Amino acid sequence: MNRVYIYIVPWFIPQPFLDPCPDRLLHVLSASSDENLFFPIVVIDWRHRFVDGGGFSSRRISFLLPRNLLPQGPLRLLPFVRLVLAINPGCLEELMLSNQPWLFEGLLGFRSMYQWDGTLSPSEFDISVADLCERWREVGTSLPQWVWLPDRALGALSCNVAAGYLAIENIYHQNASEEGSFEESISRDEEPFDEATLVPSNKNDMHIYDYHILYSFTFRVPVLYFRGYQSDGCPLKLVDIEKDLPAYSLKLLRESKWAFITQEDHPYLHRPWYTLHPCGTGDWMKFLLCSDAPNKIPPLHGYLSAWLSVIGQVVGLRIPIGLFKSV
Amino acid sequence: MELCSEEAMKYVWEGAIPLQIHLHESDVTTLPPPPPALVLGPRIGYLPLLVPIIKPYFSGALPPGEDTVWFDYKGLPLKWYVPLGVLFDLLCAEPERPWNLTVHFRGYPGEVLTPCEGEETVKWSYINSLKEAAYVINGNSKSIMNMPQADQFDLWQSLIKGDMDGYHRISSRLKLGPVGEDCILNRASSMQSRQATDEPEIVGSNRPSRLPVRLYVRNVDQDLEYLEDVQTLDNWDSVSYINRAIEFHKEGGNYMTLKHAMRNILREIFSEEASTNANELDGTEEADSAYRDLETTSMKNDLVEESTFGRQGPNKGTLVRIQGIEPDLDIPFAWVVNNLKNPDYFLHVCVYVGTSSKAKAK
Repeated sequence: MNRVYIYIVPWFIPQPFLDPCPDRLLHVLSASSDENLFFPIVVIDWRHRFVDGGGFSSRRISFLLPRNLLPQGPLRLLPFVRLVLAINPGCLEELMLSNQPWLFEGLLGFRSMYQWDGTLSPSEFDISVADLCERWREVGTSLPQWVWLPDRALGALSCNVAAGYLAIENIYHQNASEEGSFEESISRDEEPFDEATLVPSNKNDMHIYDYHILYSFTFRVPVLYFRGYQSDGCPLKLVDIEKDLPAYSLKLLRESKWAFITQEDHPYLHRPWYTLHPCGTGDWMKFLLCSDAPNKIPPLHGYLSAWLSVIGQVVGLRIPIGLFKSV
Repeated sequence: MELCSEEAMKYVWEGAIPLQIHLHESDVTTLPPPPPALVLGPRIGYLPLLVPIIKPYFSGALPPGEDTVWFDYKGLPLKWYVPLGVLFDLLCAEPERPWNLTVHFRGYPGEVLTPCEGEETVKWSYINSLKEAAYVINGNSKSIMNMPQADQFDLWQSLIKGDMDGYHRISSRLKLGPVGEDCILNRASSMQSRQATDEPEIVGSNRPSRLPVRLYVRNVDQDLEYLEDVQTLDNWDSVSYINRAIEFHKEGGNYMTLKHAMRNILREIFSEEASTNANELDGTEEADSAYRDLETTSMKNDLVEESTFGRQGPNKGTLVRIQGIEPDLDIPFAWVVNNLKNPDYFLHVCVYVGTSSKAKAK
């Protein structure tokens, strides 16, 4: 059995202690300090991270380790390994009360390969959010960066995995009548986008959109909420929004039974927003990510980027090329 | 132990709120203004469904033009898709009988309320909730999507008429429960042939049941012993709406209780009462089970004593209200779900978070 040495660090340890890493959830310490260790040391914030649903039992902590953090060897062939640490209750309490890092030696357990249903757990969503933000930054676009806004209302009262939303706002969208041809297809071979910033010829014709990505705990998939305004701040009705959508998108929305726009209360802002219903998402995400390898669970950190590259096209949000690289 | 009580379900279906509905002054065109309408509103129903009963009281006084009906309670526009009983439990900390509401026929607040065009809109919202509940329970909404039109119609009619038996006749074919003692759903034997699936079903018995729950949490910052002092809600921003699926199964001989379920979502609030639960831990659970498929673990059933991190303080109190009652938190969650859920198969729970001058008994 392979061994992985894990440092478990209390959640309040400030960022500088955890060596800088863009991934806010996972940090790797170099093993150079200890010559006896041949395997990566993983530092994990044990509190509600990597554990599905945000809970953990009295005797097991479960982590999802992506491939690139696994030791060399047969384990590396798996896209993900679920690591299980068995801890006795007394030990766990000590762990939780300590403010020192703990070195924990664990044996690896493997997640059994069942058919993936295309859904995402709350912790996987959190990982994917960080991954999307990073890719968006790297890929370079004239669009603003995504911002994560945590749920303030409940805050410390609840488990805060996946509680909040990812926002990108004030996106200018020129009126359909002024737009040039928009002939992207929905295939994965990216057609070149026109990356140049749209210079509004007439500001009054601009529609402005806000997009929020939330996690649906019931459907276990991301959900898009969006709304549009005229340049004077007047909210757009659905008929106006539909005029902004690409032609193929309108066709899809009319014909597909899984894709439709409805108006619902935004779960965190408590006001009506437009949303794409999440019910079919699992199915087409599974198709999108698994069609070459139906029996493997794909690395899920790229889930949101893949999802957005499809959803973005449905709502007319310009997705930069290269966001959805093959994962 | 009996987990399904027809008597309890009957109470739920027959529960109603006495309403005194006033026409808003801006809609009144006659002198004197019409007296308020006294209506009994079913708990499991929805406000827009009462409009056909209310309108005759006021039709003489209304201005000409098209109606866009909405309700408010002390100025707060009421979300029409929330069951009436839940609105009452949430907005009246101290139950107000009759409940005084104001009805408007004009000036729909579109920036605060999603549009509602009457019974069809409410029905659509109900069917969507049912699909979501089915998705949570079964992993797919097939049983709802494949429901014949006639069944859908009958189901909806049973709901608005409060016909519990008629409702159960149809809903029992939907394979949505009830939840059994072993915490696996007892799927009612289907009289139809098994529907073809495009893919093999995900390992059934190993997956813990997921149960759909909607929580409405109000942080009132007040002593919950004196409910009549709780301030009126003036803004929906003060209510956290939590739409979740609670994973659940037995842990070493102990049933999951309502408290455990609440703690699953509102970890910090309900952890305080966990001090007596430390000895519930089943010490005999074998360590080698750690290496089995983890989808069935007790990760969700958080029996461990929470640490002091994030604790709200010794005076935090909570009030849990479901279908107008404040259940004992030690009742098995399965019982609560089976008997107190709404017809949309969601369990709607109102939670008041405040302070408590008395120490909590449990």
